[in-house]
Amino acid sequence: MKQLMRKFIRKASSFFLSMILICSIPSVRVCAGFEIPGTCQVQADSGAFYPVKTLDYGYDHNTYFSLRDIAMILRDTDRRFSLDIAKSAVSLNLGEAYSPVGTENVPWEDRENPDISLRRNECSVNGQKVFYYTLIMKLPSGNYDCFMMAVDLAMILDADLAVPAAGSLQINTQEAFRISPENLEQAGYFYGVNSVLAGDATTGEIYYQYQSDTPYSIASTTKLMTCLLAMEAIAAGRISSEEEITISDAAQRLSASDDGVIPMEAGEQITVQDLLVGALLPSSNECALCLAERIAGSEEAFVQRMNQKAQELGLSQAVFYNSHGLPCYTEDQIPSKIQNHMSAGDMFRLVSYLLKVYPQITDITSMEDATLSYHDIEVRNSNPLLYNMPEVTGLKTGTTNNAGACLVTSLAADNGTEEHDLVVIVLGTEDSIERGRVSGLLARYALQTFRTGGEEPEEGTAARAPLPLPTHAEAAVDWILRTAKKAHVTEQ
Amino acid sequence: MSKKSREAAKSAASTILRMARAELLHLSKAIMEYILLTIRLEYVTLKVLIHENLFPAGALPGEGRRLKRAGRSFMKTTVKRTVLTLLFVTLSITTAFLIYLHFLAPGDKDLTGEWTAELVMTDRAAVTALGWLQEMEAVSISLEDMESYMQDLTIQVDLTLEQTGQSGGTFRCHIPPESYEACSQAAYEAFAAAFRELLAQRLRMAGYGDGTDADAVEALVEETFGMSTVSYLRACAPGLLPDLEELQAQYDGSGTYGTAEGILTRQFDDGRPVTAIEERYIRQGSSLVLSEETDSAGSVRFSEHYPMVYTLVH
Repeated sequence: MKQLMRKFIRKASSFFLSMILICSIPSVRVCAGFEIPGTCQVQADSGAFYPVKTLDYGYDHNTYFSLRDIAMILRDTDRRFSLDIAKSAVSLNLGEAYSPVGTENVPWEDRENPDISLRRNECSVNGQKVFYYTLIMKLPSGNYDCFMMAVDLAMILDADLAVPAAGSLQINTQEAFRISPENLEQAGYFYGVNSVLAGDATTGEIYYQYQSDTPYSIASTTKLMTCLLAMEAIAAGRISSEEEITISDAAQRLSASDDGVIPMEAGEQITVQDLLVGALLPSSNECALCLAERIAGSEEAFVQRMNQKAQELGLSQAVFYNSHGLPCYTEDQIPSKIQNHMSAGDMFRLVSYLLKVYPQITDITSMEDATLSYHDIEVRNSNPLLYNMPEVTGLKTGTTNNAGACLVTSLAADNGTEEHDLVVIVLGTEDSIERGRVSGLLARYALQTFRTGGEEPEEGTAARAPLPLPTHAEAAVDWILRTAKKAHVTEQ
Repeated sequence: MSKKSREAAKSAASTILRMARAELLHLSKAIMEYILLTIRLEYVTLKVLIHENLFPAGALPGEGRRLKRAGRSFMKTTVKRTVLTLLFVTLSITTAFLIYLHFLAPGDKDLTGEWTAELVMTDRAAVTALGWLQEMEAVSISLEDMESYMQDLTIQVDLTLEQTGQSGGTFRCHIPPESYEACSQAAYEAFAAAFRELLAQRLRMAGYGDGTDADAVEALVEETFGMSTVSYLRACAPGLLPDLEELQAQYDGSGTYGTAEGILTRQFDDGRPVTAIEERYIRQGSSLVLSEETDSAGSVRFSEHYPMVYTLVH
């Protein structure tokens, strides 16, 4: 009996303890602040301040703002927008009037306990798909609200932001969105990034750089060098884009591994064009390997060519170990884990050369998606900025644990008199969210610098003078290639 | 060698031949005389010997010895006369030749004539063009290839000298503008051809395989810049040749000249900044070589265009 009582007490204690633990999880979660509700006072221009619901995601001041609250504040300004929010999709229509749902600009209710997570919900602006991380939550009324970082919204609206005081935000609807990387650097914004660079690939001018001389792992942005050598081989007539290549056992093994992207069978045929698309859009490592084996006979020989090309281009910090950018190990007694690496400055030089000599690469990298002739496999471009900015023409993402999240972006910039290719390089951000945001900021900075020369034109000054003819050979070639491109597009 | 210089050399040679012939004749006469004298001496000696044989020693001692002494004396005199004659002939020829060279031969002091030289611009133009084209990414051209595009790029320089005194006269130097323009046009056409070839390569690399022949590339350049390739390069690329004004400032002018000890001094009297030029010169037939320019202290002043070889036109 005593034993029965003891058993009963043990079981009852376990049960109650479990119930207590289960019931405490939400509280613990709330107390940990995974998404911490808050309020920020926001004004449009110099108007009145209104409360805007916020969520600090994971950390204090990692703040996401309620789009409905802000839409309400901006409804009578030039930057007004309407919203259409579903469970996992949000759509903004710029210039349209916002229809309130009754929850705007009121504080959080006590009972509200947001249970949402930050993710890449479907997002569109004026019907165009864009790539931003948002939080979507269901309101008591049954409607949904969407939370987005203020800087992301400012880039969408092209409105300038200011912080007049702690806990407040000013949206300047009369000013275009502007950033100063130097100020960001001083505020420690790039502390969590390995290196960045923004510049003009057509002229070689660097607008901004941060630790651009230090070599870092570059992950799959390696494939830009792989594709450069492939295009060289095509231009030299050693291979053709229509040529079919037999898939090797090594490529099949890579395809079947955790790092595989496109399923491949050894012995089957795949075209060079498919391999280029596969390597550049979804970052297929097996496609890069196939290209390497075809061009040089073996990957070892191809890697030699990569390093040789790097030397020819003056990429002083670049070292390649493979054609795809995955980590590999040395054959020492104690193997070392090694990765392809170069500096952001080297990458700028490489990409500038690639865009000048083989501008047709952006025909591939500007595609959002494609269908390979190999088993009709559909592939999607992993470059987030391609969806957010119409000027973006490429180029390549890269991610490994050591390299972090990397992105090399090219933009076609036009200031009314001349067209240039701008490049933004971001190496080693913490995650894909940060990679997209940092790249987006620097891309807008590069466009802003190119279009205005970095300074606002004074009032009353004459319009930009007609462009003088280029006096340098490569600049002349650039002009002529652009004419050829326009003629080519017109013909098509 | 030009026709005129050949004729001049021929006439000089024939003159020398005539003189040599005359002297040879004189010499041969002397030799004949010597031979005759020798024969005569032999005859006399023979006569003496016969007489001595017929008339052994003492028979007619006086006459034989007298004849013998006369024969020996005659031999010595003949030899002396021959040697002296030969010496005299040699001296005469030499003296005559020296007189001719000093007084009558034109030598290197008379520079009268219309001379023309060519300034070679190939190297300079090729190097300048190559330097500009080397900026192009991914394509290249060697200096040898560049020089093969640019051949025989020369600019004419006309120099007219008229001797009015023993070692001087007046001069006029001139660069014909038409020569400069022809050279410039040839240089830029060669430059444009090389640029078009490299452009065609870049167009093919960029995937524009169709329409990369010379005409298509030229059309593309015209569409881009609104002008031909030659015009674009003239306007925007570095100058392949020195300016005509710069060359004219260096060469054009008139004035007086003098020659002394291998130095040709030209005094300009047309108001140019540099009034006098001194150059080392060598005249050989119808070639006048100005090897280097010296300043008043005799030091050499470097100039890329030396040595300049002028050829006599008239």
